[in-house]
Amino acid sequence: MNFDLTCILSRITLDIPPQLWEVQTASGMGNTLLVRLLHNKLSVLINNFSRCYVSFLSPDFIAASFSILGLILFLVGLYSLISRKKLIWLGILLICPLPVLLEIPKNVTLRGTFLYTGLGSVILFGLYRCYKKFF
Amino acid sequence: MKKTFLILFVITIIASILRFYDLTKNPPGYYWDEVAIGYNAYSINQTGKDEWGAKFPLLFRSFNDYKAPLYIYAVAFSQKFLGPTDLSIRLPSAITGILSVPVLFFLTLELLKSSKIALTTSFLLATSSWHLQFSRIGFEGALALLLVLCGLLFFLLAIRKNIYLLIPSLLFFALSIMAYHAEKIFTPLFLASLFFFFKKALFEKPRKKLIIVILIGTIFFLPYLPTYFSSEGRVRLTQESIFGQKEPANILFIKNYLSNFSLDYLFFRGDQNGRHSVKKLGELFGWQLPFVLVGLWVLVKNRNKSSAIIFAWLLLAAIPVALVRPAPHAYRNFISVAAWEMVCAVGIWKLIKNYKTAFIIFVIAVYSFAVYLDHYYFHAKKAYAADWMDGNKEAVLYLKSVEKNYDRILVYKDLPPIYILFYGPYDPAKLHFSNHNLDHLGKYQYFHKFDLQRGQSKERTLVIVPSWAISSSDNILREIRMNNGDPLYRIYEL
Repeated sequence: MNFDLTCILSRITLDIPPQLWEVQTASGMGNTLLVRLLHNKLSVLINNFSRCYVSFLSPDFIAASFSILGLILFLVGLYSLISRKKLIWLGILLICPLPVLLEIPKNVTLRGTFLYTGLGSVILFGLYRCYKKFF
Repeated sequence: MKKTFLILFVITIIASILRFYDLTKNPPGYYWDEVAIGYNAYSINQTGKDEWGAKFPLLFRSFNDYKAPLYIYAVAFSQKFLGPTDLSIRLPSAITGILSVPVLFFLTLELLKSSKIALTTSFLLATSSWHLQFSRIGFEGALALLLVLCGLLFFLLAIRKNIYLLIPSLLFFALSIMAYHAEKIFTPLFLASLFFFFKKALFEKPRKKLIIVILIGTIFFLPYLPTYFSSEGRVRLTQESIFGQKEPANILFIKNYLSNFSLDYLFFRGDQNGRHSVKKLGELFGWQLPFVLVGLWVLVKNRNKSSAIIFAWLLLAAIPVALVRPAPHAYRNFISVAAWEMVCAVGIWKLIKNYKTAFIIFVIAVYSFAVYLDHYYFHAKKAYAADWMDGNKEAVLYLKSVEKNYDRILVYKDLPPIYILFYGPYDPAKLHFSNHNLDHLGKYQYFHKFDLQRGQSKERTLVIVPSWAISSSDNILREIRMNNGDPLYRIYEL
């Protein structure tokens, strides 16, 4: 999913009313207290937001963007970063989907650059680790 | 240890309640594969042959999809006590689902040597939406999973304790191949990787004993080998194969393979087939994501045989899904559910340091489970009634209740004959005698074109057609609806 980077805040919020309508009508229970407790704006927002955020770091997204070799190098890079406790680098990786997700800045290319630079740098680190190990 | 077993007992009770409650009514309808399993089991009990007349087959032809045999024989056994009922179809799956919980406890204990991780794993499996989905329906997956769990448990015990325990291990693995198609690919690969991981430990055992055990174990696989390599045995693989598609097979394989590890599929949306999940939640709960990641990290860091087994399990379980379409497929990948729960339990015990965090996580987990139950018991039941072919059973039961008043009943092809066969039930011997002619089943006759006109026949005739085929103002005798109120069939007199 999300290969065209359409998982963004404005769409997430637009999706909330139809999602709530769906859960309230599908069971025929209406807008009862139980339905509101289990399916409310906050829970749907958190779910949608985390779903979109995680999709940018999902293996299938990385493989679609950087090829299968890119995914392997990403995993090697990620393993090396965690084992070496490179917290700043890991922080950058965790932050890099946010510009796309929150639509900041307005320029779409810039947002994409943030994302792909973050992911790409981990891949490069993985490549570097492989080079060091085998050559 | 006494306390541990008491907790395990409570977890197993919870698993039983979740699997037995409303078992025959939810999922709402009986999908035709379930009904076919039920009828073939009935046919075996009555005649010793399947619906096509094959004597005690190792592959059931059914809808020309050649179903794996073991679950059908399990249903045949349950029908010895329950008769050809709805419960007889789903009960073996529910029981094997419940048994998987304590078996997974002992397996995790053997593998990770920690009773708290083992208890957490079995609790996670007992309350897993993925496992609940497939252990509450009359499909083969839950039985196959239990057999693989038993096979692995005995394999580990054979390595640690007595080499002769390799015999039951190989028996369980051989049976798992007979239980479900995905295991035909998974089990040999998994078994090969187990032998690879433990080759040193195995060769340290007395050579003579080892050879005897492996020879006996091989015998278990022999009966199924001819069907394994036959064209019928590969039907499911070729029917939905990735080969011969527009996209190159290698690209499709990689895409399908990776889709099993998509975080969206695992934690947020699940399989988008209404029979495979509630579609609004992941196969695992969203709150499990950080624990799964930490669990994977711990296992990578440990780099011992246990983590190698778990990784092999996860990586090999995705291969059956990758070879066919569509993907991801929660049912074909079902075997991995136990491994994912194990990884999550490892992560939980790595991250939880005090009671406060444990309590917060517990509250989130309970909330997520309540959301799942709400989806499962209230929303999915209605929203995906059509996926379960809801209404077909009700239609046949109605026809059965009035059939004595009519000379013939004309049935349009939309109502699959398997429902008439099972809910009749139609004598399998008659079906064999008619050369499996499904167009004439006693009073029931199938028609394929809407060229019927009232008053043409002198026989008292009842007709059942899809609801779209006839107007509701046309003297309808009865309208069959799904549980969500959507009309399915209309019945009238000719």
